Amino acid sequence: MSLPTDTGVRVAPGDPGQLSAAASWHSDLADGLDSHATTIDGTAGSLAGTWQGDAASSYQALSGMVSAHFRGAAGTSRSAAASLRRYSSELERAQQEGMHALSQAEHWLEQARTDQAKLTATQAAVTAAEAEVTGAETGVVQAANVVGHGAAATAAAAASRLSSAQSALSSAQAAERAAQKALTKDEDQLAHWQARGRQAWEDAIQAAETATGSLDPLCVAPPPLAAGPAFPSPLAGGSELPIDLYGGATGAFAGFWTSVAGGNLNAAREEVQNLAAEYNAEYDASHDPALWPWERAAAAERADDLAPEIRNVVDSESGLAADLNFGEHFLGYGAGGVLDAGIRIASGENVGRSAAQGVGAAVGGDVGATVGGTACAASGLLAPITPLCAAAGGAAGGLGGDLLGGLVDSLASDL
Amino acid sequence: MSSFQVTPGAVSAASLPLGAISAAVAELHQGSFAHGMAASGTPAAGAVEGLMGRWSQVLPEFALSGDRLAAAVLGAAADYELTDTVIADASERGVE
Repeated sequence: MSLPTDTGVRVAPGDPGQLSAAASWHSDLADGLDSHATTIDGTAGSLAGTWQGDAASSYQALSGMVSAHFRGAAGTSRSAAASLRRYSSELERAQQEGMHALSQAEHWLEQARTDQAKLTATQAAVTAAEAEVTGAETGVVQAANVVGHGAAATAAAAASRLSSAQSALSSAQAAERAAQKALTKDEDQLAHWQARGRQAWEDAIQAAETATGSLDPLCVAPPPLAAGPAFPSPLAGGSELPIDLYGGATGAFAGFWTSVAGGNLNAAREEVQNLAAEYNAEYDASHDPALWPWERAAAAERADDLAPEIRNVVDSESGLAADLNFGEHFLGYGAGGVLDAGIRIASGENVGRSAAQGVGAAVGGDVGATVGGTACAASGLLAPITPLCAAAGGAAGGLGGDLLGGLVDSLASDL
Repeated sequence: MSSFQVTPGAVSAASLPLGAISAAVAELHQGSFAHGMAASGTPAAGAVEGLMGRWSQVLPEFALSGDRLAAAVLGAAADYELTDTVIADASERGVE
């Protein structure tokens, strides 16, 4: 049997230290992601007391989803860490086993080579001893044929030589058996450590396959960003939806309302002035000595009738002024802007940009209504439709202000 | 209808930890580059490389999500404060 030229034992490749470092990185990542999820939850919790409403609910929902993604990713990272740590550990063990098996196989291969040489030598000694025995046996036969003086001594010498040759052969055969036994043991040991080496290699391969099976399916879904429909994104630009018309529509309504209320108020004031002039004339007449007494009494009666009428109109003036105020300031500056901004925010647009556009729509609507109404009233020809002019001006001003607010916000964002 | 009790200092403080998420995740992401070849030479090399590649793809998204949440909180506070100011101004003008 010929001996192999090498041990046939291979140690599994790979760096358990690097795998362990990768496992530690995943553990750190998992801890970090969990900690961030706690931060996100904590922030949402701290805001819950001071921020309520649709936008707040959207934020809470989004925050919960983001936090859940962080926790999910942390779990994935922990799974990866466990797989990598297990693989690192099993690879290290397999490599240690492989190194030990390799070392032992090298030892027993060397020992086998030595014992093989011994066996070869003992086999040669046996062959030589056998030849000597054959020669000694021939000598004994020849000695038996010797006759006369010295025959006995010759036979004795031949017998002695044969005995020595047989003894030497026996020793050589014993040495050969011993060498063969040693070589067999060496080969058995070599085979044993080769098997151990193969097992260590297969263990490493199995560990790699297990790790691959664990790591390959691991996937992490990115968290939702504060840009989707769930919450108005602070980074997204505002869209130019027909919803822009809300600012203009509010401006138009406010302009129409303001114009009508302003017209009514002016009419009331004019009426008060006329009634007051009439009252003064009647009052003067009731005290005029140039008139007959019955004429003064009639004038006094008409003046008395006019007084409550004047009070009624004056009273109505405060209501009309309130209407004007409502149209000018609440509808124009307040509700117009808030409605425009509110609808934008509720529809998922950028909050800052929505507020800026709401302010623009409110101010623009107010200015537009004033300009439109004043222009028509001054034109004479269009004076009868002053409220419509104010409405048109409010609409145009609201839309223009809305657009201007968005532009200002964009410029401010670029700074 | 939403309401937001704006206390800028408190809101800023609440959003600060959110703003720190991005930098922390970015630092972890940087650390990931050293581990892509951790299983080099082994049959698991592709799996480890693929996993690290997937982390590299999503970690910037996680970092960004922290920034977006922080910006949403700060932005909402600022916007509501602005709206409050506008309404307060309008109210004052209405009283005149």
